[in-house]
Amino acid sequence: MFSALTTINEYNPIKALFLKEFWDNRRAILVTPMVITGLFIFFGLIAMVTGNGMMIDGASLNDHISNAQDLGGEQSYIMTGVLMFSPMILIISIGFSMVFTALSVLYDERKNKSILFWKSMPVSDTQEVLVKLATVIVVTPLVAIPFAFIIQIFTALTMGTMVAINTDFSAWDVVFSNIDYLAIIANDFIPIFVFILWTLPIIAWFMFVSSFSRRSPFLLAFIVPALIVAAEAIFFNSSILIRAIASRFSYLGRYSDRYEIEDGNILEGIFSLLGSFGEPSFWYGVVIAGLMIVGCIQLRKRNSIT
Amino acid sequence: MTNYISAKNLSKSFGKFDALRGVDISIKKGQIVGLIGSNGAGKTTLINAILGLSSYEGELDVLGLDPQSQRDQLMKEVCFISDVATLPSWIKVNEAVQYVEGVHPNFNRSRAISFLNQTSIPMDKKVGKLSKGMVVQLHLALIMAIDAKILVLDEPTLGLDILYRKKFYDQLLEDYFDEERTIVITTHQVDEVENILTDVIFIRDGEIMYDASMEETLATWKTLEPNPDRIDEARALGPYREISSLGRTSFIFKGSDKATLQEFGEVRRLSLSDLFVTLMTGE
Repeated sequence: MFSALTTINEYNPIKALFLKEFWDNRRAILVTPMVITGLFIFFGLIAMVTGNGMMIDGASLNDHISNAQDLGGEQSYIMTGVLMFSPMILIISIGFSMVFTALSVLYDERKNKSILFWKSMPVSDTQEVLVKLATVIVVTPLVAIPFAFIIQIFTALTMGTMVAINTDFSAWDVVFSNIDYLAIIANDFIPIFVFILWTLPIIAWFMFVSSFSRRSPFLLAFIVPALIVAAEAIFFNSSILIRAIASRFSYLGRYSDRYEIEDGNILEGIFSLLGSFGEPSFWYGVVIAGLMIVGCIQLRKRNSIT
Repeated sequence: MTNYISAKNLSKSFGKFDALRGVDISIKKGQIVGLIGSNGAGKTTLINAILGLSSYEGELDVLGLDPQSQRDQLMKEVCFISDVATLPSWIKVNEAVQYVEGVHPNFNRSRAISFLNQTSIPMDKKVGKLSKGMVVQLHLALIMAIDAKILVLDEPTLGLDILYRKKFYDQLLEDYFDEERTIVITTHQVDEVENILTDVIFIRDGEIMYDASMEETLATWKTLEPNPDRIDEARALGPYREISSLGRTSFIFKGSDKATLQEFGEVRRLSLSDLFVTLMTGE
């Protein structure tokens, strides 16, 4: 199945463009989540062997697990919650991968002059830029999410094993029967993509910078907004840009009320995030991102070489 | 003959610098055209306009398409290799083959593979690991496997050693060129393309200085190396230019009859590089 996805044997421009981006950004898209998952499992195994006596909040891990048996209804939230947050490092790394990929997709090809090769082929700049955008916001998270599942399965198995070995309880009763599997699957997709769509103008800004920057798009991408924020504060005593940037994240606060693990249905909380799409400021962001992507396409059409 | 490329009053400026000034050219089916000029003469600017890589003023028609707005359509019928190594170093040889197969409707994979099999290029290596000559061979193998009408080569052999250069043009003629295709080559290595061109265009400071077929060029321009005792008589015929080097004098004639000149000494064909120098130093 994978080899059919990753090889080209016929005329299929969109697939070829996606594969080209994947080959180019293999490290950010595939190697990074693979390495992080490997390290997580490696250190998890070490902790399992050596960590039985580990003290957390004045009690050993085994005590915590034993106590969990008495928590009744809360137990499910705790187990599910632990699993939901276990791939946190991986999910943060997806964010970094996306930022670095966005900053390089339209810059590297100009720097290494391969843009002249890409442009010698019958694909339009619009197709190229849109595939690059989709690579950043869809392919990168979609490739990493299965690794989040692997981490979660590993974590569940670890917890189950520790219960089975160290306590008299059954691993099924304490761990596996208490996991809200649907909530975990939903949690690995919905918050990530809601977050990506909210931060779309920021991602599009990174791509826009990479489409014109002559050197170090990374610096430019951060210095320009920092200067604008400073200039606003000094000369106009205003803070429009910093508020606009913060608004991309503030929905998280507003919707997290309904996204609490302790009470209420976890799944419902996750789906309530989709309600944030009803806010006008979400759509302003989409429009701004769209304009910047149009800018990327126009610039790629015009500047073939740095 | 069918016109493949025609430009009328084509201009392009970068700020105050005029890279192209009202260029008129027409390139037809079946020609191998050498576009020759010094560095900064406007060769690459002209090529970029034809390929839809840059904006321009004036009229430009390539295979009935407007290069600027229809580059993606145009590239189905036009291939180019530019003066710099443009294959990215991260791509593997077999990935490059797959990519071109995926995006180009006129690409013939088995043809590309058979070209590659004639070389020592390993399929699973990254381009960054190949020698410069191999990268050019790979690029050429990919391009020659595309059934296109126009092939544009912008300083294709820059930085290659002499053996590769010779092989490059030999292969191009033997395995690629036919009367349905047109090749445009820009170079300032005039000598190595001289024998394969059907037409030649000289460009200087963004203007076309000379545009003629090789046949016409050879018929019009001649070098006379007069016998020492007849130098003055030969000079009286009004040569286009006189060259003295290492104590020998030779004359370049434009339009004179070969038989007339032969009375005064040995008549040879004028090499393109001498013609280039003659016209560009201009007086």
